[in-house]
Amino acid sequence: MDFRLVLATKLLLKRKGNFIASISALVIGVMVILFNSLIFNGVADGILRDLANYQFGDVLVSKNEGNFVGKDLQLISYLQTFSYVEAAAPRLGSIAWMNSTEGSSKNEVDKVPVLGVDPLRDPKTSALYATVTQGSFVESRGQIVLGSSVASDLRATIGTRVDLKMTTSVGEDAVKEFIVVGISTSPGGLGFDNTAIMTIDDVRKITGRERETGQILVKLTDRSFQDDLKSRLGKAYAEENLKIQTLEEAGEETLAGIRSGIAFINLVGYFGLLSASFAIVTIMMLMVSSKTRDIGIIKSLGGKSSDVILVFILQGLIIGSIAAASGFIVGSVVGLYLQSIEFSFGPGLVLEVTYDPIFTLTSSLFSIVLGTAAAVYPALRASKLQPIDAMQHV
Amino acid sequence: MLIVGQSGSGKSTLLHMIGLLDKPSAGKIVIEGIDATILSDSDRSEVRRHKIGFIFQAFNLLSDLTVAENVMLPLMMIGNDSSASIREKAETILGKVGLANQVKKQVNQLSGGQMQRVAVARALVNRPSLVLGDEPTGNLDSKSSQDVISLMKDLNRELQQTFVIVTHARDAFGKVDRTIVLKDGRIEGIE
Repeated sequence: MDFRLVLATKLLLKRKGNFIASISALVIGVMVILFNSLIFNGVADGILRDLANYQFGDVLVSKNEGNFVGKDLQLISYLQTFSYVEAAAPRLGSIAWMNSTEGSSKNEVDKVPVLGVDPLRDPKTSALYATVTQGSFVESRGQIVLGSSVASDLRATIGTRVDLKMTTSVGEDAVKEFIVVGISTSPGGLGFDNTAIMTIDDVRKITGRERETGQILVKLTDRSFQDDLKSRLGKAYAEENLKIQTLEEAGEETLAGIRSGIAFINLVGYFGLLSASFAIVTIMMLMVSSKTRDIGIIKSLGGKSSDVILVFILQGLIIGSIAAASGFIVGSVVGLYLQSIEFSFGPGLVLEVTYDPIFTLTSSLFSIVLGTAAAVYPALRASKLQPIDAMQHV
Repeated sequence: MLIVGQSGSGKSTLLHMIGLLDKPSAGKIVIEGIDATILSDSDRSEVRRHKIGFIFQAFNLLSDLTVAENVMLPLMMIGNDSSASIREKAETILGKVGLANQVKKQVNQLSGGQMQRVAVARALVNRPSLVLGDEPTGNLDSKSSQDVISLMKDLNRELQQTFVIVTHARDAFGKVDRTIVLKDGRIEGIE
């Protein structure tokens, strides 16, 4: 075995405390990056999944200006000719003022977003129905599902009668009584807690927009067909000035904030790894200091400056390699475990954790680069020691 | 050969310059026809590696290595032999200095006399042309000193390597080929 490798290993193993501290510093840095990536990408993917499931579908079709008027069913029929389109459903949104009377007290809530859905098509297209935690989803006109916050503000329960006031297309107020059939608790804070859901026909009727549709959600058998659908639909309805968005495009505003958060948190992780490398520099400087005499002895026996540099670089390489292996093993175990369970912080968003072996490996291998780089300065310092001066060091 | 003189006369400095551990401010160090004063640090290391063995007063063994590993190190640095051959040569020389059964021990488990024997073995294992000893018995009791001196003289006879020893205790060495007496940094006499 090469004498430099023997010396690197022996000098390192005899300082177990420093050795373990250096490896731990790097492993912690790697784990911060891996954990951040798992958790925050899990959050982003979880939000993306929920956006697809509840708000936008896989593809969201609307018009660049205004709403569809009377063409929604024709468009849905056309969409269902595509083999990869699983379902499509129309939606129409509005704003409502609500009040409920409980004994002598009257409870009011202003400006509640109201979502009109097709009770038959929507459950096939989105998982909005699954947000109903009490009662049932809307099935016919006159029924309403309240978000849990709205229900709480109105002191409404299943069976409570609620008066809704909406503004019609000509600017007049229209009032209609609804019966609460369900309470919705939305996952991940996507906003359904503060929303009310009713049939699209009710929204159309009250607001006087009888034939209008705001958006059509499309569910695909495979999200990879998004671009194909977008392209073919755009060509088929070129004169309609359609706004066809993939899930990522529709959710861009929501995801942009999340992604910049992920980037920031990852930056924190990389600073952590940089701190770990400074810790290694410090530890190795201490090692150089405690091994000054040995460096003098090695040089007196004919060791060259390049040999001394290599001894310390090899130490950094050994530290980095062990940290990389440890980081990869621990990161893989944690990643696979989080992927296998429905991980969430409390009752909110269930994270969509995906274990990425390549990212885990590259992040882990980064510790080899850092460990080796951190050894360069101490190695250069050690190589400059003169043998006689070094041997007199106590 | 002995180099003797009072403290501060320059014995160790001269030895360090002969061993290319230090550079003279004037003059030349010529080893086997090579002017070592004009060599680069790397070339000086090469000369030390192949041609010079050191025995220090403070033993200067690597405490993290075993007895065998300390002795194997000069041969590993030269890198001409296989691992098995290096181990065999180290064990042979350790047998000559009476430490055949101590090869696996850590050096800090040995007595002072034993440590200096390891240092002697390390200095001789690669058959250097020049073995330099800087007060090699300075840290030993009288019995250990005599043992180490006898060992060095025996090996000097057997291996035919040149020993240059700096010492205060010239009498302990008995008859030697040559003794250089230093005073105030100058050669006062050669006996």
